[in-house]
Amino acid sequence: MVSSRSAITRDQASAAAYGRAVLAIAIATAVGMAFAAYATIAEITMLYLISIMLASLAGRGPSLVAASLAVAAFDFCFVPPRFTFAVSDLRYLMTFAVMFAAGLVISTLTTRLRRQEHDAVIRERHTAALLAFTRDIAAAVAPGDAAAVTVAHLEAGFPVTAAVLVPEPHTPGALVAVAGAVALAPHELEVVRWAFEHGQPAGRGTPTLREMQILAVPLLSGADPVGVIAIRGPQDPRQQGSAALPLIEAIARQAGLALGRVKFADQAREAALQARTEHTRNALLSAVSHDLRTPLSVITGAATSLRDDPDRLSPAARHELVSSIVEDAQRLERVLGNLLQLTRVESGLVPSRELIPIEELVGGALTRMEEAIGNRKVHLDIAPDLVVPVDAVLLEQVLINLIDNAIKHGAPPIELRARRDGARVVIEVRDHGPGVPVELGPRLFDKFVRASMAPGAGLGLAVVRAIVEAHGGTIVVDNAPGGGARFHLELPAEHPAAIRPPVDELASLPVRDVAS
Amino acid sequence: MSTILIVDDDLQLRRFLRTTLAGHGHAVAEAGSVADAIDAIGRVRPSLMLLDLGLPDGDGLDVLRKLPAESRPPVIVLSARGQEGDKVTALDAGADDYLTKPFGASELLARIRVALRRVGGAPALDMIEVGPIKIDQPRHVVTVEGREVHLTPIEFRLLLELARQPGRVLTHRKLLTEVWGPNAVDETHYLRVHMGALRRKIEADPARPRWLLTEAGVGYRLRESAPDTSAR
Repeated sequence: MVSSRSAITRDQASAAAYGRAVLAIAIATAVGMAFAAYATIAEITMLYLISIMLASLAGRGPSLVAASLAVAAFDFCFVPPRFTFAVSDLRYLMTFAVMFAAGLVISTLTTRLRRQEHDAVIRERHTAALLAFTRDIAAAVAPGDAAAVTVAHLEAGFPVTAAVLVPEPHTPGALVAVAGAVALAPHELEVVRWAFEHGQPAGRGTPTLREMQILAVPLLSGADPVGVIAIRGPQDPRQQGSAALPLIEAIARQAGLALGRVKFADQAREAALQARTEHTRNALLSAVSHDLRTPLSVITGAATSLRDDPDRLSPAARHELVSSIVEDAQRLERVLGNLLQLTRVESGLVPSRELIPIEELVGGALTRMEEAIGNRKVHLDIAPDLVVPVDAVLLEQVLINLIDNAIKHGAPPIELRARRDGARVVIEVRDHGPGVPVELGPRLFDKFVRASMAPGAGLGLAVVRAIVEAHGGTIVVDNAPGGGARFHLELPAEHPAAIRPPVDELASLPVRDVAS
Repeated sequence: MSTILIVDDDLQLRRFLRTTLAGHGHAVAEAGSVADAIDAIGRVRPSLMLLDLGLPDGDGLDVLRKLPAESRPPVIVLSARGQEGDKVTALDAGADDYLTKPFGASELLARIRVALRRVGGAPALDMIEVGPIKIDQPRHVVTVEGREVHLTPIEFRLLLELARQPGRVLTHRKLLTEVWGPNAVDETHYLRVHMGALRRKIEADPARPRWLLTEAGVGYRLRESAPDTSAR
């Protein structure tokens, strides 16, 4: 602690200063005695005054000691009758008074100067400490980070141990430490709780419960307490000077704002996610009512017809009904599969990543689509040994949906290309059909948007975009020269240290700017 | 006649399985819970078990765990898409194969045929023939449609593992353990690279494999019979 450290130096200096005061007077006396035959009383007085002044530079105590000694020595050695404490002339009392006054004035001035200088140094150190703290806390993005930075700075700046406590979210009234460790006795925990609940510092050095060993400073975000710092100082109470409290309070103010900011950002993110979930749910309900019921009606109708009057149906009609049951069941499965996949990816599922050869991904997708592709032509142009860090199951789904899209809305041949382009892997899926309606643009990737009257819930491309973005990639669509839709997909080619899940795009919402 | 034990708590699914299997000449026993399943295995000694993973009194895997390996019939796990992790767990815990719900009758029967063929253990034949692929084990010679292909020792081991149990899915972990040893179970990338190389030698078009099939997130399977789009 800045102030306590200089307090120690000052105490040690005092002991030496007293010694020097005594020494100065002794020297003055010795010199005076040596030159007593040649000097007048006035000159000897000057000698003593200089010694007192020198001693006074060390503070009031040494100054008084020096003045007292000087008066005594001067009286005894030089004031007639010499070598007695008797004073023959009352004028000398005036000299004694001047000696004391000079000592007093000089020591007072010195002390004041010293204090100002000392305060300036402390202020400077505090400003620097606060600046460093402000810089570090600004970088905190999680409540735990902000708390850890606070503890680290307090423990680096002061000889203390500190901990940040925040309200336990599930137990009302309970506080839980999120950074640092300070052992608290039950009555000390009460001090901490009091500080948190009243939004005022409490404990050692504060107006409230100053005799406690612990110091508790609340963390306020605006007027709301978001946490509390518990600080245990060194055993010697003199070392926890009062000058430290303003700095600790300043740190607590910054920490409170930072914690509040981080918390608001979290809440905003959650609220946005909630809104999105809500939106998805509504869209889902409308999709369920139409796109799931239609195939179900077909299945129910065809099956009951087969059950109730099989004899009236020709073999060809029976085969027709059975086929429509199978096909609409598959349609149901596709819609459900896409809905599930979409919900999973949008709920912030972080894809598991492995380096997978594109050739294998394409092969897997083509195998699963074998039946749907039938004898449509598929052209492949895939750079060998091209690998991409992805979740195999999810990326296979992307390719399946794009191929499915080309089959349903486009025309063969279907072209699949993959190549490396700098730090990205580019995959293109193209068909030779009528192309996409350009006016739809990126809306084509929105949920429940369909480009044509072909059956489907309009989920396939939404799933594609969600998965691609969860991998840190992009997808766009345009019409290729010569006709046909062309989906252009880019994925990071390198294994990323941390690719953000789609939820993180919410961090850029304007709400955060307001809070920070 | 082989008895097949169906372990699923859904009565409608059991009804479909029972009817289909009985229609193809299998005897059928049914169980709706982990406890029932263990009891039924002791009673009817099934030659195959179709096992649903979500049972009312526990995980379908509990059935596998509670049975000693020697009294366990071949197991085909019934699971949903998106549960690739569960499939891998089940396969690594001793299940033989899996079917993703919903599945068609022909797919079901094909899987059962593959699993039942293994009841006597994989035959240690010198010559293995799967589709156009012929493997001469003692001579380490592989031909595809009569044309000899030169495989590295690792590619040969890989192909051999898959060809010993054609039609059966082998997990990444299983293949890595068999070919590279137990310390390599996490080196999936190795496996993919060598599988890519193997495909380039075996398949006419490695990006449209007809034989060495990828089961995304699970493992690989060597197709046991010629791909025929009309039958699937």
